Amino acid sequence: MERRESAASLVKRARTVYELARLRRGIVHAWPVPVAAWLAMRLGASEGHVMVLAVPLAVAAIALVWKGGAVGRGVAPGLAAGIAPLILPGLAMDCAEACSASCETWCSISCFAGGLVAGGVVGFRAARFGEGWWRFGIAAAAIAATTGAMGCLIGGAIGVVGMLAGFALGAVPLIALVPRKI
Amino acid sequence: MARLADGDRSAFSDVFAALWPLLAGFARRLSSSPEDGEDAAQHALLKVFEYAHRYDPARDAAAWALAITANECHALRRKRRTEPLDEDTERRPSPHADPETAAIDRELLAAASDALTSLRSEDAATLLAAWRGERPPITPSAFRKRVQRATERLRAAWRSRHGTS
Repeated sequence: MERRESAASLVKRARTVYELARLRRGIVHAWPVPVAAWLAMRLGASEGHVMVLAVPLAVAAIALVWKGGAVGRGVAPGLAAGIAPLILPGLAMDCAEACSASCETWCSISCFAGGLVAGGVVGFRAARFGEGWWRFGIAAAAIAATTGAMGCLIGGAIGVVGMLAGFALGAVPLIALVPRKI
Repeated sequence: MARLADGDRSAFSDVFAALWPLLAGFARRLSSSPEDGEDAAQHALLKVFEYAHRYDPARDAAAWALAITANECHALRRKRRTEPLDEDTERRPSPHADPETAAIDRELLAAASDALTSLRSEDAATLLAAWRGERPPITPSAFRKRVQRATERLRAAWRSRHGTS
């Protein structure tokens, strides 16, 4: 290390080191995204559609963790909440094939149910978050909805709309009713 | 520090202003020279910012940063002890020597450094400690024996390279 480095250049280096460390942290925290994309494809979603969602989702997850604060802390719960709408449609389709029921109906119902669960998780966590809860909620909701949409793409636009409706129905009452953490 | 750990960049200047003098003073006291102290403090400060996201707000920030600084000072001391020869010493010609003698001195130093690096790190550290007049925390007779063994190995290394003692 160069000795007697000026304070200004030390500040600059410290800032660079800090930002790079946060970026690395963002990349590490985005590891569930490729797993979710792989899972969605395994459960029947088309590769192209999944990629259209997975790439921006990974970028958003990295950027939000890098940014930090309430939005950064929303990433992990968002990814976790998105698991329900991600896998339920694929499982429901298998079930529909097994019992010869209508695939579309099953898929829409499972997307709605998955959205409801994800919305409930995000709504509850946002309500209990304390200061900056709405920033946390928006970040977690966006991440959860995008993760879930990768799975609900099996059912097409109806599946995604059903998931979003379920999400809203699950999140809004909890945000309104669960007492805020002060 | 807690704000910085959470990604609040507006706390950066405050943290820097609070920590730098503290770490620099602490490192100077722990190091053998002011230059080493400043080096260790700079390394430590950069580490504090690198690992800021791992900072646990339940802990005292100053204690956490000072622990990192103490580690850096310790690492630098260890590095200095095992360094074969100081780069400055290698390049610096003898102050009273003519250019030819200085060139010979430099070649001898480079050859000695080469032989020294071929030794095990413990032997090299023992010889360097003996040359610097340092006394490690062992009995004087044990240290003498170590120096003797390391010198024999250095002689053997020198002989295998240059064919003479």
